[in-house]
Amino acid sequence: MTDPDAPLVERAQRGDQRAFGELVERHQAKLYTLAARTLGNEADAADAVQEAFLRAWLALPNFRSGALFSTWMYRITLNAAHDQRLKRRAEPTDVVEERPDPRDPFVASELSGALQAALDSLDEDFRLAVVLYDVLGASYDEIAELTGVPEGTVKSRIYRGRRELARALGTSAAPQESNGQ
Amino acid sequence: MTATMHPDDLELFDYVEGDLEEARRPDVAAHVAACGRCGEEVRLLEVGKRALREAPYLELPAGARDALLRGLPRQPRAERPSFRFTQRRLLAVLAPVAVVAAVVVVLTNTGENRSDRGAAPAPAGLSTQMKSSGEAERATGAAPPAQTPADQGVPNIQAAAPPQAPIRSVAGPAEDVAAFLLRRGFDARVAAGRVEVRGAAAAAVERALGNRPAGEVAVVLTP
Repeated sequence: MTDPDAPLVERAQRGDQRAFGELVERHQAKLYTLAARTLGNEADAADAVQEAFLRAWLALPNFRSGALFSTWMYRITLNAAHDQRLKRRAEPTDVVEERPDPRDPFVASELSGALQAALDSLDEDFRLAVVLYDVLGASYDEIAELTGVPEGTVKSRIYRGRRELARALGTSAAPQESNGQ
Repeated sequence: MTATMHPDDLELFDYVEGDLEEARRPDVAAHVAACGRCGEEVRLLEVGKRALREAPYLELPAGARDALLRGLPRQPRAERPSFRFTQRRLLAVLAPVAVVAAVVVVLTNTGENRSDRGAAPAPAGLSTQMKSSGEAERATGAAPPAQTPADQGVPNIQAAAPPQAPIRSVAGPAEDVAAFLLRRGFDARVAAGRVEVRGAAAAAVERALGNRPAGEVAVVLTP
Protein backbone atom coordinates (compact mmCIF):
# COMPACT_ATOMS: atom_id res chain seq x y z
CA MET A 1 0.00 0.00 0.00
CA THR A 2 1.45 3.35 -1.01
CA ASP A 3 1.17 5.98 1.66
CA PRO A 4 0.70 9.45 0.12
CA ASP A 5 2.33 10.88 3.23
CA ALA A 6 5.50 8.79 2.86
CA PRO A 7 7.77 11.52 1.41
CA LEU A 8 6.84 13.99 4.14
CA VAL A 9 7.09 11.31 6.81
CA GLU A 10 10.60 10.40 5.69
CA ARG A 11 11.70 14.01 5.88
CA ALA A 12 10.07 14.48 9.26
CA GLN A 13 11.84 11.36 10.51
CA ARG A 14 15.10 13.13 9.75
CA GLY A 15 14.04 16.01 11.97
CA ASP A 16 12.60 18.24 9.24
CA GLN A 17 10.13 20.40 11.13
CA ARG A 18 8.80 22.00 7.97
CA ALA A 19 7.80 18.61 6.60
CA PHE A 20 6.16 17.80 9.90
CA GLY A 21 4.33 21.12 9.70
CA GLU A 22 2.93 20.05 6.33
CA LEU A 23 1.76 16.77 7.85
CA VAL A 24 0.09 18.73 10.64
CA GLU A 25 -1.71 20.92 8.10
CA ARG A 26 -2.74 17.92 6.08
CA HIS A 27 -4.20 15.94 8.98
CA GLN A 28 -5.23 18.45 11.62
CA ALA A 29 -8.84 18.80 10.50
CA LYS A 30 -9.55 15.07 10.47
CA LEU A 31 -7.82 14.49 13.79
CA TYR A 32 -9.42 17.48 15.45
CA THR A 33 -12.82 16.42 14.15
CA LEU A 34 -12.22 12.92 15.49
CA ALA A 35 -11.20 14.23 18.92
CA ALA A 36 -13.92 16.88 19.10
CA ARG A 37 -16.72 14.57 17.99
CA THR A 38 -15.69 11.77 20.34
CA LEU A 39 -14.82 13.96 23.34
CA GLY A 40 -17.62 16.46 22.77
CA ASN A 41 -15.44 19.32 24.00
CA GLU A 42 -13.36 21.51 21.74
CA ALA A 43 -10.83 22.63 24.36
CA ASP A 44 -10.08 19.04 25.33
CA ALA A 45 -9.99 18.09 21.66
CA ALA A 46 -7.43 20.81 20.91
CA ASP A 47 -5.28 19.61 23.80
CA ALA A 48 -5.59 16.00 22.67
CA VAL A 49 -4.63 16.78 19.07
CA GLN A 50 -1.66 18.91 20.12
CA GLU A 51 -0.57 16.11 22.40
CA ALA A 52 -1.05 13.57 19.62
CA PHE A 53 1.10 15.51 17.17
CA LEU A 54 3.76 16.00 19.83
CA ARG A 55 3.79 12.27 20.57
CA ALA A 56 3.94 11.55 16.85
CA TRP A 57 6.89 13.90 16.39
CA LEU A 58 8.79 12.20 19.21
CA ALA A 59 7.88 8.72 17.99
CA LEU A 60 8.42 9.33 14.27
CA PRO A 61 11.92 7.84 14.33
CA ASN A 62 10.25 4.55 15.27
CA PHE A 63 7.50 4.77 12.66
CA ARG A 64 7.94 2.15 10.00
CA SER A 65 6.50 2.03 6.53
CA GLY A 66 3.85 -0.63 6.25
CA ALA A 67 1.38 1.29 8.34
CA LEU A 68 -0.38 4.31 6.94
CA PHE A 69 0.64 7.51 8.65
CA SER A 70 -3.02 8.56 8.79
CA THR A 71 -4.05 5.36 10.59
CA TRP A 72 -1.12 5.73 12.95
CA MET A 73 -2.21 9.29 13.70
CA TYR A 74 -5.79 8.17 14.30
CA ARG A 75 -4.51 5.70 16.86
CA ILE A 76 -2.29 8.23 18.62
CA THR A 77 -5.12 10.76 18.66
CA LEU A 78 -7.56 8.27 20.14
CA ASN A 79 -5.03 7.42 22.84
CA ALA A 80 -4.40 11.09 23.55
CA ALA A 81 -8.15 11.74 23.66
CA HIS A 82 -8.56 8.89 26.11
CA ASP A 83 -5.79 10.32 28.30
CA GLN A 84 -7.35 13.75 28.03
CA ARG A 85 -10.67 12.39 29.23
CA LEU A 86 -8.96 10.83 32.25
CA LYS A 87 -7.00 14.01 32.98
CA ARG A 88 -10.13 16.10 32.77
CA ARG A 89 -11.82 13.89 35.33
CA ALA A 90 -8.80 14.05 37.65
CA GLU A 91 -8.00 17.76 37.43
CA PRO A 92 -9.21 20.12 40.14
CA THR A 93 -11.84 22.58 38.99
CA ASP A 94 -9.61 25.66 39.33
CA VAL A 95 -6.99 24.19 36.98
CA VAL A 96 -9.65 23.39 34.43
CA GLU A 97 -10.90 26.95 34.57
CA GLU A 98 -7.41 28.37 33.98
CA ARG A 99 -7.02 26.55 30.67
CA PRO A 100 -6.55 28.69 27.60
CA ASP A 101 -9.69 28.36 25.55
CA PRO A 102 -8.87 27.89 21.86
CA ARG A 103 -12.50 27.92 20.81
CA ASP A 104 -13.73 30.05 18.04
CA PRO A 105 -17.40 30.80 17.50
CA PHE A 106 -17.72 28.57 14.44
CA VAL A 107 -16.32 25.51 16.15
CA ALA A 108 -18.28 26.20 19.31
CA SER A 109 -21.51 26.30 17.36
CA GLU A 110 -20.70 23.01 15.68
CA LEU A 111 -20.22 21.21 18.94
CA SER A 112 -23.16 22.84 20.63
CA GLY A 113 -25.60 21.63 17.96
CA ALA A 114 -28.10 18.81 17.95
CA LEU A 115 -25.80 16.45 16.10
CA GLN A 116 -23.18 16.59 18.85
CA ALA A 117 -25.81 16.15 21.53
CA ALA A 118 -27.04 13.06 19.68
CA LEU A 119 -23.49 11.75 19.30
CA ASP A 120 -22.83 12.32 22.99
CA SER A 121 -25.83 10.17 23.81
CA LEU A 122 -24.41 7.15 21.97
CA ASP A 123 -22.48 4.29 23.45
CA GLU A 124 -18.77 5.11 23.09
CA ASP A 125 -18.10 2.23 20.68
CA PHE A 126 -20.99 3.23 18.43
CA ARG A 127 -19.97 6.88 18.50
CA LEU A 128 -16.41 6.07 17.50
CA ALA A 129 -17.57 3.78 14.69
CA VAL A 130 -19.92 6.29 13.08
CA VAL A 131 -17.50 9.19 13.47
CA LEU A 132 -14.71 7.22 11.82
CA TYR A 133 -16.86 5.76 9.05
CA ASP A 134 -19.44 8.38 8.23
CA VAL A 135 -17.81 11.63 9.29
CA LEU A 136 -14.18 10.87 8.44
CA GLY A 137 -14.62 8.27 5.71
CA ALA A 138 -12.39 5.60 7.24
CA SER A 139 -12.63 2.12 5.76
CA TYR A 140 -13.96 -0.97 7.55
CA ASP A 141 -10.40 -2.34 7.56
CA GLU A 142 -9.03 0.77 9.15
CA ILE A 143 -11.72 0.91 11.82
CA ALA A 144 -11.29 -2.79 12.57
CA GLU A 145 -7.56 -2.23 13.02
CA LEU A 146 -8.08 0.81 15.23
CA THR A 147 -10.74 -0.72 17.43
CA GLY A 148 -9.47 -4.31 17.48
CA VAL A 149 -12.75 -5.90 16.42
CA PRO A 150 -13.72 -7.85 13.26
CA GLU A 151 -15.23 -6.07 10.27
CA GLY A 152 -18.64 -7.58 10.97
CA THR A 153 -18.61 -5.98 14.40
CA VAL A 154 -17.55 -2.69 12.84
CA LYS A 155 -20.57 -2.79 10.51
CA SER A 156 -22.84 -3.74 13.35
CA ARG A 157 -21.60 -0.78 15.42
CA ILE A 158 -22.11 1.62 12.54
CA TYR A 159 -25.60 0.21 11.99
CA ARG A 160 -26.58 0.61 15.62
CA GLY A 161 -24.81 3.94 15.96
CA ARG A 162 -26.69 5.42 13.00
CA ARG A 163 -29.99 4.03 14.20
CA GLU A 164 -29.56 5.39 17.74
CA LEU A 165 -28.34 8.70 16.40
CA ALA A 166 -31.38 9.06 14.18
CA ARG A 167 -33.65 8.30 17.12
CA ALA A 168 -31.80 10.83 19.28
CA LEU A 169 -32.13 13.48 16.61
CA GLY A 170 -35.81 12.83 16.30
CA THR A 171 -36.61 11.04 13.11
CA SER A 172 -39.09 13.64 11.95
CA ALA A 173 -36.42 16.37 12.00
CA ALA A 174 -34.57 17.12 8.83
CA PRO A 175 -30.96 16.01 9.35
CA GLN A 176 -29.67 19.32 8.01
CA GLU A 177 -31.09 21.01 11.09
CA SER A 178 -29.04 18.77 13.30
CA ASN A 179 -25.82 20.13 11.88
CA GLY A 180 -26.69 23.71 12.27
CA GLN A 181 -26.45 24.11 8.52
CA MET B 1 -38.85 -14.10 1.01
CA THR B 2 -41.84 -13.68 3.29
CA ALA B 3 -42.54 -10.79 5.60
CA THR B 4 -41.36 -12.83 8.59
CA MET B 5 -37.98 -13.67 7.07
CA HIS B 6 -36.29 -10.41 7.91
CA PRO B 7 -32.82 -9.75 6.55
CA ASP B 8 -30.28 -9.63 9.34
CA ASP B 9 -28.65 -6.37 10.41
CA LEU B 10 -25.59 -6.83 8.25
CA GLU B 11 -27.69 -7.46 5.16
CA LEU B 12 -29.76 -4.37 5.83
CA PHE B 13 -26.59 -2.39 6.39
CA ASP B 14 -25.07 -3.63 3.13
CA TYR B 15 -28.36 -2.87 1.41
CA VAL B 16 -28.25 0.74 2.61
CA GLU B 17 -24.59 1.01 1.65
CA GLY B 18 -25.23 -0.45 -1.80
CA ASP B 19 -22.82 -3.26 -1.03
CA LEU B 20 -25.33 -6.11 -1.17
CA GLU B 21 -24.64 -8.60 -3.91
CA GLU B 22 -26.80 -8.08 -6.97
CA ALA B 23 -28.48 -11.46 -6.76
CA ARG B 24 -29.75 -10.75 -3.27
CA ARG B 25 -30.70 -7.13 -3.72
CA PRO B 26 -34.16 -7.54 -5.36
CA ASP B 27 -35.35 -9.84 -2.56
CA VAL B 28 -34.20 -7.49 0.18
CA ALA B 29 -35.63 -4.46 -1.63
CA ALA B 30 -39.00 -6.20 -1.98
CA HIS B 31 -38.92 -7.17 1.68
CA VAL B 32 -38.03 -3.69 2.89
CA ALA B 33 -40.87 -2.24 0.80
CA ALA B 34 -43.37 -4.63 2.30
CA CYS B 35 -42.14 -4.93 5.88
CA GLY B 36 -42.87 -2.02 8.19
CA ARG B 37 -40.20 -2.98 10.69
CA CYS B 38 -37.38 -3.35 8.16
CA GLY B 39 -38.59 -0.29 6.27
CA GLU B 40 -38.30 1.74 9.46
CA GLU B 41 -34.84 0.33 10.15
CA VAL B 42 -33.66 1.37 6.70
CA ARG B 43 -35.15 4.82 7.13
CA LEU B 44 -33.38 5.31 10.46
CA LEU B 45 -30.09 4.14 8.96
CA GLU B 46 -30.42 6.61 6.12
CA VAL B 47 -31.35 9.50 8.41
CA GLY B 48 -28.37 8.79 10.66
CA LYS B 49 -26.06 8.36 7.71
CA ARG B 50 -27.14 11.62 6.09
CA ALA B 51 -26.79 13.60 9.33
CA LEU B 52 -23.28 12.28 9.92
CA ARG B 53 -22.08 12.73 6.36
CA GLU B 54 -23.23 16.30 6.25
CA ALA B 55 -21.20 17.13 9.36
CA PRO B 56 -18.28 19.32 8.30
CA TYR B 57 -14.70 18.83 9.33
CA LEU B 58 -13.66 21.03 12.23
CA GLU B 59 -10.40 22.96 12.19
CA LEU B 60 -7.82 22.86 14.95
CA PRO B 61 -7.51 26.52 16.01
CA ALA B 62 -4.58 28.18 14.24
CA GLY B 63 -3.10 29.31 17.55
CA ALA B 64 -2.91 25.73 18.74
CA ARG B 65 -1.18 24.68 15.50
CA ASP B 66 1.34 27.50 15.75
CA ALA B 67 2.10 26.79 19.40
CA LEU B 68 2.64 23.14 18.58
CA LEU B 69 5.05 23.78 15.72
CA ARG B 70 6.93 26.54 17.56
CA GLY B 71 7.61 24.35 20.55
CA LEU B 72 8.57 21.03 18.97
CA PRO B 73 11.26 19.42 21.09
CA ARG B 74 14.29 17.72 19.61
CA GLN B 75 13.48 14.27 18.32
CA PRO B 76 15.10 11.42 20.23
CA ARG B 77 17.95 10.73 17.82
CA ALA B 78 18.98 7.55 19.56
CA GLU B 79 15.94 5.78 18.16
CA ARG B 80 16.29 7.09 14.63
CA PRO B 81 17.00 4.20 12.25
CA SER B 82 19.59 6.09 10.25
CA PHE B 83 21.09 7.58 13.38
CA ARG B 84 22.21 4.42 15.08
CA PHE B 85 25.42 5.92 16.41
CA THR B 86 24.11 6.78 19.85
CA GLN B 87 26.09 8.29 22.70
CA ARG B 88 26.35 4.93 24.36
CA ARG B 89 27.61 3.26 21.19
CA LEU B 90 29.96 6.12 20.57
CA LEU B 91 31.40 5.57 24.02
CA ALA B 92 31.63 1.83 23.46
CA VAL B 93 33.56 2.32 20.24
CA LEU B 94 35.76 5.24 21.15
CA ALA B 95 36.61 4.40 24.75
CA PRO B 96 38.87 1.43 23.86
CA VAL B 97 40.47 3.49 21.11
CA ALA B 98 41.12 6.27 23.53
CA VAL B 99 42.60 3.92 26.11
CA VAL B 100 44.93 2.36 23.55
CA ALA B 101 45.87 5.80 22.32
CA ALA B 102 46.64 6.93 25.83
CA VAL B 103 48.89 3.91 26.39
CA VAL B 104 50.70 4.65 23.17
CA VAL B 105 51.17 8.24 24.22
CA VAL B 106 52.58 7.20 27.58
CA LEU B 107 54.91 4.66 25.98
CA THR B 108 56.02 7.14 23.36
CA ASN B 109 56.74 9.76 25.95
CA THR B 110 59.01 7.39 27.80
CA GLY B 111 61.10 7.04 24.64
CA GLU B 112 63.88 9.15 23.13
CA ASN B 113 61.65 11.55 21.23
CA ARG B 114 59.82 12.89 24.28
CA SER B 115 61.36 16.32 23.79
CA ASP B 116 59.96 16.44 20.25
CA ARG B 117 56.42 16.53 21.50
CA GLY B 118 55.22 19.97 22.24
CA ALA B 119 52.20 19.07 24.26
CA ALA B 120 52.11 17.18 27.49
CA PRO B 121 50.50 13.75 27.20
CA ALA B 122 46.96 13.48 28.29
CA PRO B 123 46.45 11.50 31.47
CA ALA B 124 45.04 8.09 30.70
CA GLY B 125 42.10 8.72 32.97
CA LEU B 126 40.86 11.58 30.84
CA SER B 127 40.84 9.39 27.77
CA THR B 128 38.29 7.09 29.27
CA GLN B 129 36.16 10.10 30.00
CA MET B 130 36.13 10.94 26.30
CA LYS B 131 37.59 14.30 27.15
CA SER B 132 40.62 13.79 24.94
CA SER B 133 39.43 11.23 22.47
CA GLY B 134 40.27 13.52 19.56
CA GLU B 135 43.75 14.17 20.91
CA ALA B 136 44.24 10.48 21.47
CA GLU B 137 43.34 9.72 17.89
CA ARG B 138 45.74 12.33 16.64
CA ALA B 139 48.45 10.92 18.89
CA THR B 140 48.03 7.47 17.42
CA GLY B 141 47.86 8.84 13.92
CA ALA B 142 44.59 6.96 13.48
CA ALA B 143 42.03 8.56 11.26
CA PRO B 144 38.91 9.59 13.11
CA PRO B 145 35.81 7.56 12.34
CA ALA B 146 34.11 8.68 9.16
CA GLN B 147 31.61 11.30 10.17
CA THR B 148 28.29 11.46 8.45
CA PRO B 149 25.88 14.37 8.69
CA ALA B 150 23.89 12.16 11.02
CA ASP B 151 26.85 11.65 13.32
CA GLN B 152 27.45 15.35 13.40
CA GLY B 153 24.08 15.72 15.01
CA VAL B 154 24.83 13.30 17.83
CA PRO B 155 24.86 15.26 21.06
CA ASN B 156 28.38 15.86 22.29
CA ILE B 157 29.06 14.95 25.88
CA GLN B 158 31.53 17.80 26.19
CA ALA B 159 28.97 20.27 24.95
CA ALA B 160 26.38 19.39 27.58
CA ALA B 161 25.06 22.46 29.33
CA PRO B 162 26.08 22.90 32.93
CA PRO B 163 23.49 21.62 35.33
CA GLN B 164 20.97 24.19 36.46
CA ALA B 165 18.93 24.21 39.61
CA PRO B 166 15.43 23.06 38.73
CA ILE B 167 12.43 25.24 39.43
CA ARG B 168 10.54 22.16 40.43
CA SER B 169 10.78 18.42 40.01
CA VAL B 170 7.44 17.03 38.99
CA ALA B 171 5.90 13.73 38.07
CA GLY B 172 6.71 12.61 34.54
CA PRO B 173 7.08 11.41 31.95
CA ALA B 174 9.12 14.37 30.77
CA GLU B 175 7.31 14.49 27.39
CA ASP B 176 4.02 14.95 29.21
CA VAL B 177 5.42 17.77 31.34
CA ALA B 178 6.83 19.50 28.25
CA ALA B 179 3.54 19.08 26.41
CA PHE B 180 1.68 20.42 29.44
CA LEU B 181 3.83 23.56 29.50
CA LEU B 182 3.73 23.86 25.72
CA ARG B 183 -0.03 24.02 25.79
CA ARG B 184 0.21 26.83 28.28
CA GLY B 185 2.31 28.88 25.92
CA PHE B 186 5.82 28.12 27.18
CA ASP B 187 8.68 27.18 24.93
CA ALA B 188 9.29 23.87 26.67
CA ARG B 189 11.24 20.90 25.42
CA VAL B 190 12.73 17.70 26.74
CA ALA B 191 16.51 17.56 26.95
CA ALA B 192 18.57 14.94 28.74
CA GLY B 193 15.54 13.69 30.61
CA ARG B 194 14.60 17.05 32.03
CA VAL B 195 12.30 19.76 30.77
CA GLU B 196 13.90 23.00 29.64
CA VAL B 197 11.77 26.13 29.45
CA ARG B 198 13.23 28.92 27.38
CA GLY B 199 12.87 32.59 28.04
CA ALA B 200 10.30 32.33 30.79
CA ALA B 201 10.11 33.68 34.31
CA ALA B 202 10.46 31.12 37.05
CA ALA B 203 7.37 32.43 38.79
CA ALA B 204 5.27 32.03 35.64
CA VAL B 205 6.44 28.47 35.12
CA GLU B 206 5.90 27.72 38.77
CA ARG B 207 2.38 29.08 38.52
CA ALA B 208 1.67 27.05 35.40
CA LEU B 209 2.89 23.87 37.06
CA GLY B 210 0.37 24.60 39.78
CA ASN B 211 -0.33 21.63 41.95
CA ARG B 212 1.22 19.09 39.62
CA PRO B 213 2.55 16.33 41.87
CA ALA B 214 6.25 16.17 42.71
CA GLY B 215 8.30 13.62 40.84
CA GLU B 216 11.49 12.83 38.99
CA VAL B 217 11.35 15.28 36.08
CA ALA B 218 13.38 18.43 36.70
CA VAL B 219 12.00 21.61 35.12
CA VAL B 220 14.76 24.14 34.45
CA LEU B 221 14.95 27.56 32.83
CA THR B 222 17.22 28.27 29.87
CA PRO B 223 17.97 31.67 28.37
